[in-house]
Amino acid sequence: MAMTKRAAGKKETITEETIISTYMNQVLEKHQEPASVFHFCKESKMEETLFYSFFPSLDGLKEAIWIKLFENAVSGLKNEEAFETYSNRNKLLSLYFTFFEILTLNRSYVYFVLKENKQGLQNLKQLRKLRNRFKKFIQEEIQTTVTDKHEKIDKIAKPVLSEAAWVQFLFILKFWVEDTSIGFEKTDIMIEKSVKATFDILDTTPLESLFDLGKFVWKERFN
Amino acid sequence: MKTGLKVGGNYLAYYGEKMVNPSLTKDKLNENNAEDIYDGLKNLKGSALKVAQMLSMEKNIMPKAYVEKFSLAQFSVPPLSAPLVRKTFKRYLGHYPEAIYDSFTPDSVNAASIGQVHKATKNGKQLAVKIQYPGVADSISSDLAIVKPFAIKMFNLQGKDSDKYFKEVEHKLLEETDYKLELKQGIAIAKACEKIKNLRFPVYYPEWSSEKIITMDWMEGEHLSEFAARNNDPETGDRIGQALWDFYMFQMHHLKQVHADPHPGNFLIDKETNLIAIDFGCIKHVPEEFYVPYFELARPEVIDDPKLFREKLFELEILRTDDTPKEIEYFSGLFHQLLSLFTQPFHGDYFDFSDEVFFENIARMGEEFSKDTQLRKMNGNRGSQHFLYINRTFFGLYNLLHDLKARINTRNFEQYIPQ
Repeated sequence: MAMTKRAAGKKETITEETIISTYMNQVLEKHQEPASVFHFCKESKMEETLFYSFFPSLDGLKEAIWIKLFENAVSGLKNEEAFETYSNRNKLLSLYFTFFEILTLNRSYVYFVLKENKQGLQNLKQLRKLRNRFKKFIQEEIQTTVTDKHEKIDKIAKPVLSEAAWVQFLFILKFWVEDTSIGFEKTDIMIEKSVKATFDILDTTPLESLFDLGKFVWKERFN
Repeated sequence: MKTGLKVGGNYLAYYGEKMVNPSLTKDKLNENNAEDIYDGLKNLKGSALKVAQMLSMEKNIMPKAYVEKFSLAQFSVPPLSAPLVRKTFKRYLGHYPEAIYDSFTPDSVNAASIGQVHKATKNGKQLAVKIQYPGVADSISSDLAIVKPFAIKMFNLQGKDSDKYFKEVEHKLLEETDYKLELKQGIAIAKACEKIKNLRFPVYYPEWSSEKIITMDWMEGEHLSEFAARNNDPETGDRIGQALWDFYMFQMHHLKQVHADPHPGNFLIDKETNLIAIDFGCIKHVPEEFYVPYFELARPEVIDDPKLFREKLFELEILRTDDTPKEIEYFSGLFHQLLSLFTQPFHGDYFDFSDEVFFENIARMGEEFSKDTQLRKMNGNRGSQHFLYINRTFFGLYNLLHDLKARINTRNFEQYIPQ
């Protein structure tokens, strides 16, 4: 895995990954984020131009960390032979379990940036790119069954579904950050239960009836 | 507490309906109560489910409606998803199931109360793999806190030391979540009981087991209750019953620790009509200071000697030093009646568990006690905490033997005890 605890040695070739691990280590050791690219490079004895050949800014780097973590989870899933044969529900569960396993390996960093730097909702900005990547994954992997009748709905349903999955992910992420159970066992239960609940609703409630309800509410309350 | 209020409401509704319709039976009330308690409990996986199971086992003590509802509780647990099963393997054994076994069914084939069972194969051997639900151990204390006020009301437990019963249950439930302990107990008891005829145990595999996972042989067989329902050969019933009796008496009198979960689901009958004992999560150790007076009370000459009898009741904390003379009188009488009946299988060398009269008498006595308004007003906080699991064991054992219609040589087990 890319994000090991070892700091990048001078003689090693600098890659995106080594910069990321250097950055994560520096944040953890100093217990604060570097104020600028200049500070970061000075501290890690790196040429600024080298940094800019990989990332446009510290914010860009922070966003890239999340993407990296997610890509690690995705490649873990793709290595799982049976993954392609899984039902939608099991695919989503596997994604969450694997992703949170990776996040747990890097928990100190994630905990710092989401909780300890006390920036509150500002933190969500660095999840922007992850959100797009995450939603793309959901749209690719979670197959909605399309029938003639449903085709129109499906066009709307896919983005809605992936957005809903993202909200669910944020919800679990918040739960995991605050989870104090051993081995974050409670997060596992939360994942299991919330995914089950989601699919139970999807299974039993045809989307049409949701649209029907939505139309009614819209007509009655907003027009 | 939600359930408590609801149950109270049902009583009100019952008395209300009764005024209009005097023929209304108590069964209806019990059914409503059972339903509400069940609804309250069914959302709790794990320990509350265990308590429900314990209550449902005492067929003769619990009204029928409770039993029916509570038995349902055993089947209503949603299974763990395949991805979580994989994750549990990775976490506790360091590998995914496909790296450990030659084959592994991703979906469970069976639900156990705090876990689920998967089928696997390895080197041509069929294996059963039990996986515990996450968070069970964690929720035990909070689950019990929910059941506690209800139990205190139901059994009228007065005084601070009633906590000892809850502690005992909590302790045993926590032990059941420790699969390493279960493995150890399973191996030890199987070894100690290997000489008992017509009795088999699965082989356990410590290398593929951990705190939350147990791997053992897949035992081919029919559930004891199913077998008993279709069996029409009395000799076979006798033979299986004898193995069961010998197994229990050997544990009780020699090992001084006993498989305290004689639930029909924990016993299988194989093709050669051997008895197979599975699930060693709940082992009750019988301390000497309890063992001695408990079995003294099984002897008719002690039961019928009023002075000696009363002494033993004090030793077992059934009679309390703060009891009024009236209470002492009342409970001595009650337990005399109860024990004279309940210890009958121990009075001679032979007992016929197909005897309907014996079981009808127990049921009738339970019925009488439940209607006894005097009893309900008295402090139910009496009896050593060891009674809970030992009595449950005997209730379970009697019921299984009755299902098998077994005729038992009650002292046959003595041959297995080394001199």
